[in-house]
Amino acid sequence: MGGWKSSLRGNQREQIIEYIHASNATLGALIEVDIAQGLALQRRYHQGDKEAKAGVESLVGVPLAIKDNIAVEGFQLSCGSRILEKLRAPYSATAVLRLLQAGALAVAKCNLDEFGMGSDSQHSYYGPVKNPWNEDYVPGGSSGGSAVAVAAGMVPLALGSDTGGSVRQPAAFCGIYGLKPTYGVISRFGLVAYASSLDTIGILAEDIALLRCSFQAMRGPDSFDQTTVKGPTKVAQPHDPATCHIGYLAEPEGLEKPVALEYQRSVEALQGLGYTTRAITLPYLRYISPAYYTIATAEASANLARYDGIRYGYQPADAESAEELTRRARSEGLGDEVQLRILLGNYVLREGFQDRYYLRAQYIRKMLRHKMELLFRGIQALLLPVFPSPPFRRGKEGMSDFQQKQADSYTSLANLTGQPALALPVAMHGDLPLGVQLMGREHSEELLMDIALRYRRHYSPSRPPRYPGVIA
Amino acid sequence: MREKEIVALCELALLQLPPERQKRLAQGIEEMVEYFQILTEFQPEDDGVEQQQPSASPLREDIPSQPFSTEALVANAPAERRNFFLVPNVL
Repeated sequence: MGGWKSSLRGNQREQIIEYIHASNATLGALIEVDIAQGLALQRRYHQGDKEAKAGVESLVGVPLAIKDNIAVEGFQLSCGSRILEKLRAPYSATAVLRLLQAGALAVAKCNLDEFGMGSDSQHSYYGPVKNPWNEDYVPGGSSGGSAVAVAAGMVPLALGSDTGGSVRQPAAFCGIYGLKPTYGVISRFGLVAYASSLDTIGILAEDIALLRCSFQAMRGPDSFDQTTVKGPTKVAQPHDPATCHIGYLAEPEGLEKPVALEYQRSVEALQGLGYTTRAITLPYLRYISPAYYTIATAEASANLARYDGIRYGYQPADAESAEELTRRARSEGLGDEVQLRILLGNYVLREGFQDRYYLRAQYIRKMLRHKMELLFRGIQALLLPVFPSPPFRRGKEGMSDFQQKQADSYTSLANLTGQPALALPVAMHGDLPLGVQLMGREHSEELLMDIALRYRRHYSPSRPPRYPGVIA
Repeated sequence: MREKEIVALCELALLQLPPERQKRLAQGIEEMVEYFQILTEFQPEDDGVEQQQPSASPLREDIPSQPFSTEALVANAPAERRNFFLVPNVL
């Protein structure tokens, strides 16, 4: 990360800004770039090294891009939706504020699937995002803009949100690292709510040292979010692979051939690095995605009820009553996928249907938590696929929205249990990256990052040939 | 999904959609609800999970703090007059 520090104040500034704009014109990753506002925030909030949080390395000058469902003072907060068009955040999310205090420089807001609902970053009012490795392919989602901004070398660090895999899947599709932390370790204050019991702010980076440093800066209790937890404060010591047991799926289900092959190779690579591996069976795999979508849509139907077209955002012209104004604002301002999930949430919560879907899904979630806690008594980490297919094509030749939802099982597990998971790049399939994820017990982020760091001895990712960036 | 059902759901969600869009969304809901049927096949296990106590809801003290100014609160309003949100006549 050394090369990035203060790069936007130095003589490379113009070159970097030019590169960001030129790359973004094709890739559609960023929906607002405002370096002047970023510098103003840095001047106001950077605490200086003496006041910095204990144990946190300085992030001074490191450019940061933030998913556009996370508030950054003075920047837009559209969530990729027409209904929040022109909304400017009056404050910054706690996670962002802590990075600013450590010296990071907020430079851009990232494109996303509207309100974080999607797995391909093609559902945004601001247009689709393209994969920098091959622009005919999706970058994954919903934090696709954040992943592309990092993968294409526009910024070294980006924030995303992960409700069912929205940081890890785009990280895997773009060949970078993506961390979904333990639920409650990073404050959600300032993250626009989609499904509050599953939402987490996550980190995307091409460098593990930077990922670790930003995680340390953001973590910890926040009086504005009562679900935050303290967790261990000490950074874990380097581990000994010989005593670290990693579980893997003996028979992973539903994977396309290249993904299955690279998954198996990753197991062998970990063995080659000295880890003890143990084959396991994942409990209740077939129930994970339906349970996740039942809970997520139920919570979304309540969280998105607040958008009324009156206090901020899109307002239709010529409505004859306040009620008509709200109905039309929601009908014209929210996209198809968001409306589908709101309606589905209302469906599963209806009287007479709660027992059948919602309460059952909550019970399954409880069972999953219990089973995974038991599993992690015998292993320190679990190697899982991220997505059953490599990055897929954009448009009709790709996967349908329904197929994408069915494919979320391996990622949404960590959201249902609240445990951390880290996506890491492990190979290329043709010109597109492939990734796997390491999941661990609560507060095991440091261990997961350590394992990923050691894995770099086996595979070290690079930048897309067409988007080499300005800073190495 | 019957037309009556999708109309009722749109009413709950405060959505006013043209019939062709309602139809398209109804198909999407049907597809997902069919997928959710897997949940009904789940057999609960008696292995102690029921005895787990749910964690208590975290509550915080009420602490007075400085709120946003009225100007800041209406700054994003699509229509406002004299620091009030402007809506069409209610009566």
